[in-house]
Amino acid sequence: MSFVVHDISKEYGERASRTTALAGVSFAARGAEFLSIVGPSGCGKTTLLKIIAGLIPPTSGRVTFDEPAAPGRLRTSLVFQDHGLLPWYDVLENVALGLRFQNASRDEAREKARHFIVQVGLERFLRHHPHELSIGMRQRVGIARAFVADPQILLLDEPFGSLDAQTKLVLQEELLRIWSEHRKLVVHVTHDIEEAILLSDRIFVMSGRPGRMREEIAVGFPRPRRLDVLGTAAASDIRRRIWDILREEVRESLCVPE
Amino acid sequence: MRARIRSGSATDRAIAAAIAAVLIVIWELAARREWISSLVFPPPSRIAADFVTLWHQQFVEHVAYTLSRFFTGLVLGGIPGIITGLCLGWFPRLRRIVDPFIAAFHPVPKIVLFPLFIVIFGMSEWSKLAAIAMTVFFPTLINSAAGAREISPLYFEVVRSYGGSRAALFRHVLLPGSLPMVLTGVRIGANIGLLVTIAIEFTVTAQGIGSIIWLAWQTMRTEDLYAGVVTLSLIGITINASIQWLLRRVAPWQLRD
Repeated sequence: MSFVVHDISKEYGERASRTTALAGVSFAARGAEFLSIVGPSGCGKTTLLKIIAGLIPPTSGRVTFDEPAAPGRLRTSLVFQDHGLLPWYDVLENVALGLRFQNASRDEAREKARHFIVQVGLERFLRHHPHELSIGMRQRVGIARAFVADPQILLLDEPFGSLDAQTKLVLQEELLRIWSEHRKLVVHVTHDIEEAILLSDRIFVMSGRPGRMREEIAVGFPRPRRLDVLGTAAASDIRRRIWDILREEVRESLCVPE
Repeated sequence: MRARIRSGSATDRAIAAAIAAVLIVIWELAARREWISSLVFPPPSRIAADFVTLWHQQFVEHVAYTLSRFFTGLVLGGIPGIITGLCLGWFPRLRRIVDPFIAAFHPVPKIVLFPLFIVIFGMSEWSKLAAIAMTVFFPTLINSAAGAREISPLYFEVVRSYGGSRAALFRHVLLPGSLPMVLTGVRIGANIGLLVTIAIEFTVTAQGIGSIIWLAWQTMRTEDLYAGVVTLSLIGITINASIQWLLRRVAPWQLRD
C-alpha cells in the first residue's frame, strides 16, 4: 500500500479570520514503512492526518492511493491524540468498535478485540470503562482498537503526547512490537524528536503555520530497535538536523530575533 | 478508600436519621401537651394511625388514580419531549429555527393552560393529561437537546473514522452520549409533573391524593392531610431514587468526582 499527497492546502474560517493551516504539502508514503511527521505545535500535522483519513476535505490538492479500497476493509484508521475512547463503552466494546462497521459479526469482532487487548496487556480490564483506567491504559486501548480494525494504513496522531516519560517508553516499545507482527504503512505525527528517531524509517520535518514540508530524513537503524540507538552518532546527527530546522521555525513563531 | 468514604457517609446518615427521630419525638410531645395546636400539628402517632386506617379504606384507589394519571402524563409528554429534543440535537438547523419557539413557551407555567385545556377537551381526563404532559414535555425536550448538543465532536469523528454510518453515529454516539441528560430531563419533568397532577386534583376531581388533601382541609381532618403529604413524599422520593439508580447503571462514567 502506498499513497501520495499532492500539494495539499487547507484553510479555515471566513474572510478576515481566514487562516492557512497547510500550504502546498506534498509527500509520498510507500510499502510498510513507519513514517513520522515532526513539526512545531500548530503546524497542521493533525489536520494533515485527518485529510489523509478522509475525515475533512482539503481546500485544494488531493491524496491518491495506489490500491483501491478493499471491500470490507478500512483504508485508514486513526489513533487519536486523546485516545478518543467512547466513555459509555467498556474496553472490550471500545476495541470491538474498530471492526463493528466492517462486515464482521459481533462475536467475531469481540474475539479479535480480545486478542489485541491481550497484546496490550489489558486482559484484566475487559469490562472496565475508560474513566476507570490510567491515561496510559486508555491509549493502549486506543492502539488496540486501531490494530483490530486492520486498516491498510495506520495513522497515529501524537498518541503518546500526554504520557509521562516512562509510560511513553513502554508504549513505544509495545507499539513497535505489535507493528512488527502486523506490518503496515504507518504515518505518525509527533513533536517529540526522540520518539520520531526511535520509531521511524523516514522523518518529514514540517514548518510552523502554515505547515509546509521542510525536509525529509531517512533513519537507517536496523529493526528490532532498542533504546540505545538514540545514543549513536547517527542519531545525534539526525537530532541536530531536525533541531536546526525546528529552532528556526519556533523562533519565527515566537518572534525571537536571531 | 472508597469503602471508607462510604462508611463516613453512613455515619452522617445515621446522624441525620437521629435528628429526624428527635424532631418527631419533640413534635409528638408538644402536640400532646397542647404546646402547639394539635389541630394544625396532630401528633405523629395519630397521623401514623390515620395513615393505616386510610389505607384500609379507599385510599389505595386514590393513590392508584394519582399514579396512573401522573404516569400517563409522564409518558405522553416525556416520549415526545425526548424524541423532539434528540432531533433538535441531531439537526442543528432545525434547532436554530425552533429555539425561539421553545424559548417563548418554556417559561409559561403549564398549569395556567389548564383552563384552556378544559375548554378544548372538556372536563374529561384528557384535559388533565394534556396539562401534565405539557408540563413534562419542555424539561425533557430541553435537557435531551442539551445532552445531544454537548457530546464532544471527537466521539462522532471516532465512529466516523472507523467507517460508521449516520445510523451508527446515532446509535453509538448520540443515544448513549445524551442518555444522562435525557434521564435528568425525565427526573425534572417527573417532579414538576407530579406537582401539576396534585394541583389539578385540588381543583377539579373527586379522585386522587390531591382531592383527599383538599377535602381534608375543608373538613379540618388534618391527619388525612398529613397522610396525603407523606404519601406524596414517598412517591416523589421513590421516583427520584429510581431515576438516580438508573443513571448510575447506564452512565457510570458520569459519576466521576
